[in-house]
Amino acid sequence: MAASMKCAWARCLSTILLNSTKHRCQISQPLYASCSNISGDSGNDEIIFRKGEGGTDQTGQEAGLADDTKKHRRDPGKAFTDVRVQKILLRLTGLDLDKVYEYRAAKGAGVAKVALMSDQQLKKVYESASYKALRKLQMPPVLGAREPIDEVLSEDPELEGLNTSKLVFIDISQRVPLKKRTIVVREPNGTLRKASWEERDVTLQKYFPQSGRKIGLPRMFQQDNLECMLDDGKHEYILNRACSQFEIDDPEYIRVTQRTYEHIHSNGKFEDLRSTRHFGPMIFYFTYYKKIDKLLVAFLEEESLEDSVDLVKLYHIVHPSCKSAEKVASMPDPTPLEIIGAFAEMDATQKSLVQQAIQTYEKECDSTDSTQLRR
Amino acid sequence: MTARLGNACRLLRTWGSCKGLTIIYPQSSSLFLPCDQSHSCTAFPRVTPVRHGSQFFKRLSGVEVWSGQTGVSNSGKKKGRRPTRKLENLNYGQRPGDGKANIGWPGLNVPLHDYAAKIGPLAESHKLPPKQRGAQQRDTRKKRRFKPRLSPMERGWTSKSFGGRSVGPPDPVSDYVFEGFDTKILEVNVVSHMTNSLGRKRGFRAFVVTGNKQGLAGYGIGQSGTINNAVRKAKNIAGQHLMYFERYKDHTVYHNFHTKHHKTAVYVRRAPQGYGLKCHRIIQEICKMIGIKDIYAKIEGRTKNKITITTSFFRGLQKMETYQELADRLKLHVVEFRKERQYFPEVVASPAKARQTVGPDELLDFETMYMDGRVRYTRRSVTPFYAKFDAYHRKKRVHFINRNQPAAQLARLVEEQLGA
Repeated sequence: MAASMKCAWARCLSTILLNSTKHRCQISQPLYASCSNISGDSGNDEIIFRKGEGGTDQTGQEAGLADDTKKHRRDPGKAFTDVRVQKILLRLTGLDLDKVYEYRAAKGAGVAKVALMSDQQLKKVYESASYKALRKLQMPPVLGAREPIDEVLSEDPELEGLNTSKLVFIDISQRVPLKKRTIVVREPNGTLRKASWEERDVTLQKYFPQSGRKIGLPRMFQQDNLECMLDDGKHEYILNRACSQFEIDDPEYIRVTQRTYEHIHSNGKFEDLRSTRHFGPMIFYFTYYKKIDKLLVAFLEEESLEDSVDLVKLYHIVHPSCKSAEKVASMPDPTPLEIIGAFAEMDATQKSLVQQAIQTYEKECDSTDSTQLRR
Repeated sequence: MTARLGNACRLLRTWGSCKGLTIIYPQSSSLFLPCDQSHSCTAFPRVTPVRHGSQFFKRLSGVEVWSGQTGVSNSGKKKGRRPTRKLENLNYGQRPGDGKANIGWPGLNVPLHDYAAKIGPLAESHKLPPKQRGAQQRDTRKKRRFKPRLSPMERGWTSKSFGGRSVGPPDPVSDYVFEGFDTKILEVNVVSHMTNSLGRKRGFRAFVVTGNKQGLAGYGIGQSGTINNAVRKAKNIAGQHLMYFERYKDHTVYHNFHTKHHKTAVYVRRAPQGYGLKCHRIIQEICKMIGIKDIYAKIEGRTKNKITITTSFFRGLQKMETYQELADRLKLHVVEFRKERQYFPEVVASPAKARQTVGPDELLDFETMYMDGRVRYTRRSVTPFYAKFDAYHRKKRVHFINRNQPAAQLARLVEEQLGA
């Protein structure tokens, strides 16, 4: 009885949060805005994508390429922070309280605290646990790689030979956000320049250390070691550690996360990240780089039609100029299966696979319907 | 023989009257010195000189000498005195005639009727059986009560004590075999009572606990004249008085409790896994038999009466409530908050129909509800005596500067090694 109540509460709560204007989904707008290389068009809700362009992902596949991508680097951040996208991603992530509050070894954990509660008190406690869980499910944003810093403040050739090593200066005054702290470097040849991203990371970690973060690249994220970890199936751990070690727009973070998503894709283990904060970014990655076929098939095999439709809708939001989006827009009142069917026909890269999955799903549906009728 | 002895007898009388001379008559046929076998002649008998005072040693027999140690005088008997020693046969393991030369002497170590045979080496059949041979055997027979050396796993709490020793499962009763059971001795006491005929009669009392480590356990007391019998009786009584206790996740009790029996109070606290049995060794043994692996228990009052400690502890366990019983009694959900689950409310027991509300005055603090109003006494933290000295604070300041250096140095070393 308590278990069913718990599930019902979780479902009810997530719908409340998604629909209400007061309790908005936690989109990390401040974080997104603080990234220095992104131009501030935050007021615009529409997503502007230049047609024919695509970014390169981890496997080197270039989606929908027409022009030279090296010149125009695509920024997924704008798409990710869109409200509609966030809502869909949160819905897809789900809220499995047992998974969010998984058993983890804790130091100094003594005996459990035991409380005696009535039904009302229990409901309250579940509510607060669900709110906490939603905060735990706050998604780390998906951003484009940061542009390298290349700004010289002054050239002083008369200072050449004064020092044999670089001097790094950091502003340690109070109450300055980490991103805005001035860090400059005096080269041995006398040039005073702004510190590069790598230098910034190291210096900030030295002076304002963040827990869980190491100076330099941890061995785990080296290519070979990363592969070992992935083969062991430690996707969630890798992603969590990457989150704590790197900045979101760090090329290393992007490399590690994208490699992890690719590994999951090749093994089909999408459910491992369900009900974690990394599920949303993973779905977004596949959608952005137009690789949702295998995902769609997985959802259909699970017979979750809502998830499949959500995925296709997400695809249409991120790529509004695609053919199936236009077709669905033209339909008066499309059913879920019609939406998925349109996508399968027009935009799926593995068309036959998706269509087969749809057929299997329809058969399963019919058979269950018939058995229900018989009953 | 007699005729020949006639002359010798006259001589003997003359010789024998002299003091200090003993005449030994050889057992061989010839009484005389073997000068010439063909004719008879008087010859001097063999004589062996012996030292002064031989009569002193011959005055009393062996038994009469022993009676000095083994006997009790009449007056002593009236007062209830007992002999200090038991009579020992000092000749045990030895036989006249046996010696290094290994010669068989008829009448001594060989039957007399064999004397017609030559005096020769002692045959195997006539040798003393190995068990009786030698002075060593005499000594070992004295030591009847020698104890075999026990291995550390077989020993009890100490090398000598019976407490803590395992004595196996209780004896089977008809078709029931006590599978998986083990018994531990908690105490062996020497007891006595007065009888009209024998006076003080001594016996042993054994106090044991038995259990199958899966929740079944019982304790028993047995008395007998010997320790083994007393332990056996106690074990079987314990096997007849088994109780079943529920354990929380098979490792600890469900809640803290406090019980008192006579003058012994036991305060028990549940413990997390890995905590161990931090309690009196009596309670440790009981917990091992029940299958409790983690517990804290403090005995207050009389700590020496092992039976009351045990009774007190068992009583507390019998009164213990499981989560389901608690939920059913109060009609409330029993919810656990664990650090390992980030304090997520985990419902561990629910009643059939739970209450909607809780009264304002209802006391539902799980930690104290079974304590009967008692509160745990925690000592106020005391500043150590050295905190008042300046030197200590100076040293603290110096240490603070390098506070993380050992760990940081180790980390640097590890990085170096891994890099290499």
